[in-house]
Amino acid sequence: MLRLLGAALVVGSATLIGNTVARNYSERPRQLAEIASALAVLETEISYARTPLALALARACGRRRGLGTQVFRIAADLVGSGELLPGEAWQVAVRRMYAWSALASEDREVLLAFGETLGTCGAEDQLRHLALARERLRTNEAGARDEAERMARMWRYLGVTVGAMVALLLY
Amino acid sequence: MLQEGRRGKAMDRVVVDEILPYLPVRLRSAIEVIPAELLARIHEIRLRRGRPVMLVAGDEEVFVSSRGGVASGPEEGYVLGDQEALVTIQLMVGSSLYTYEDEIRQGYVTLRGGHRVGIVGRAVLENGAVKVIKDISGFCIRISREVLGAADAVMPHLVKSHNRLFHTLIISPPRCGKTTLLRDVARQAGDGVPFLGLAGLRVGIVDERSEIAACHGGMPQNTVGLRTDVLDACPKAAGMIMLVRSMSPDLVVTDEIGREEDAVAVREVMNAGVSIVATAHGESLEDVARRPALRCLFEAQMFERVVTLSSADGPGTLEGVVEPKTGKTLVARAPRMSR
Repeated sequence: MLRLLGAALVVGSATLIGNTVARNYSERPRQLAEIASALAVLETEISYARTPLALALARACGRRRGLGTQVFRIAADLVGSGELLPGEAWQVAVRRMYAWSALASEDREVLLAFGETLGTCGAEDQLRHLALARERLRTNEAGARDEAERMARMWRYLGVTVGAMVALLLY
Repeated sequence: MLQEGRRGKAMDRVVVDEILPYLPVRLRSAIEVIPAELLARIHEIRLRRGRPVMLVAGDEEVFVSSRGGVASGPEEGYVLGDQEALVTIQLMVGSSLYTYEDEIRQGYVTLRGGHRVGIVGRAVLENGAVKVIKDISGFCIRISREVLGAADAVMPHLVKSHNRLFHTLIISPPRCGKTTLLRDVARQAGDGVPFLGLAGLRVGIVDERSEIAACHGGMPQNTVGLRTDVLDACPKAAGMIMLVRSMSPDLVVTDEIGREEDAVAVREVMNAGVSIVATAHGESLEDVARRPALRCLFEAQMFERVVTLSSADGPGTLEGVVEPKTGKTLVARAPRMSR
């Protein structure tokens, strides 16, 4: 009876680990989509209302609580404080958010490159850089979705299979 | 002098409260230790990349010391670095160059409080017009001080009837108090002046450069009168017509007319039966009347009063009030008053 319980525990734990890793893969495209959608709001704020950057970043984040949009909230606070140039504020925000996010390094590079021009050029150029960043993030998101589908399925199966194998070996 | 009036903001706090937050931290600290008496008299701060920071108070020019306070000469002056120039412009535009794109294209930015900052650098052209100014190398921060009562001396000559002012043009070279006088005329007209028999008028201000009302987020920061509406950051010519059509004003107030389209708009406002008080750059009435864009207004004798200012006895010295139609001088320069 105890053996059976132990085996069930092993299988259950391995499945859980597999599912957790699988979920991590599906987090990245979700966070990329969140960022792209916040960038679209930022684009509207700059394009139609010429909203000052701190406010535009705060509005881009809005009431969304997703990890991806936290970069906008952190950057809005830093820009609003006036202690950092907008590019520096964005860099700090991206680095802080990246540590907790499921984003890959190539996503971080896109965000950092976008930050270099933030608040330092006219509306037309700013919008061009925004569109470029969104486009590159969309490409990354498509790749991340493909990867997530493949890897998530693999990790789920792997979790169950490895758990079952270990249980059999121990049994 | 007009500055003898009641002041709207505590004199010694204007630079510290409204200008220093836009300067880099190290420069801020260097200016903060300058005696309050001198800070209260400053009307310009000049920043030039790679050269010492200069303060202008009347005819006096002093350099900010690199150790803080006033320098004994330019060699001891605080030199503005490249990064500091970058930080300054970012602070002035709230980290959003795109928000101030149109102003920068015209060579200025207006700060909260109505202080205008002239900007120079490298102009980038598109189809022959300035698209943007890059590599900003110099700033001229002009400190605006609201002077309640600045128009006390001229108001009696501008009132035509209980509900009308004469069409008036205020003329002076830069830094002589045109905008200060204009703002107070708008305030007094908007509030009404019972002892002159003037009821409160519906005043519309077209504030293209946000210097008259110093709007922030659409709200005037300066006192502009109870019945005064402000069309902020709108081109003058279009703004005057918009106000007449939409706000049914008794009086339209605007700053620095000088282009053909301004003259056309002024005529339209006058023809609509609305009074106008405007300003123009110039040394004298003759000087302004010769300018091609404004000549037609004087030939048609559209303006009923011309107020001339100078800085002979300090900014805001009233040189005279003239009735152009008859050439009669209603007020001549008063002898300098002691403070």
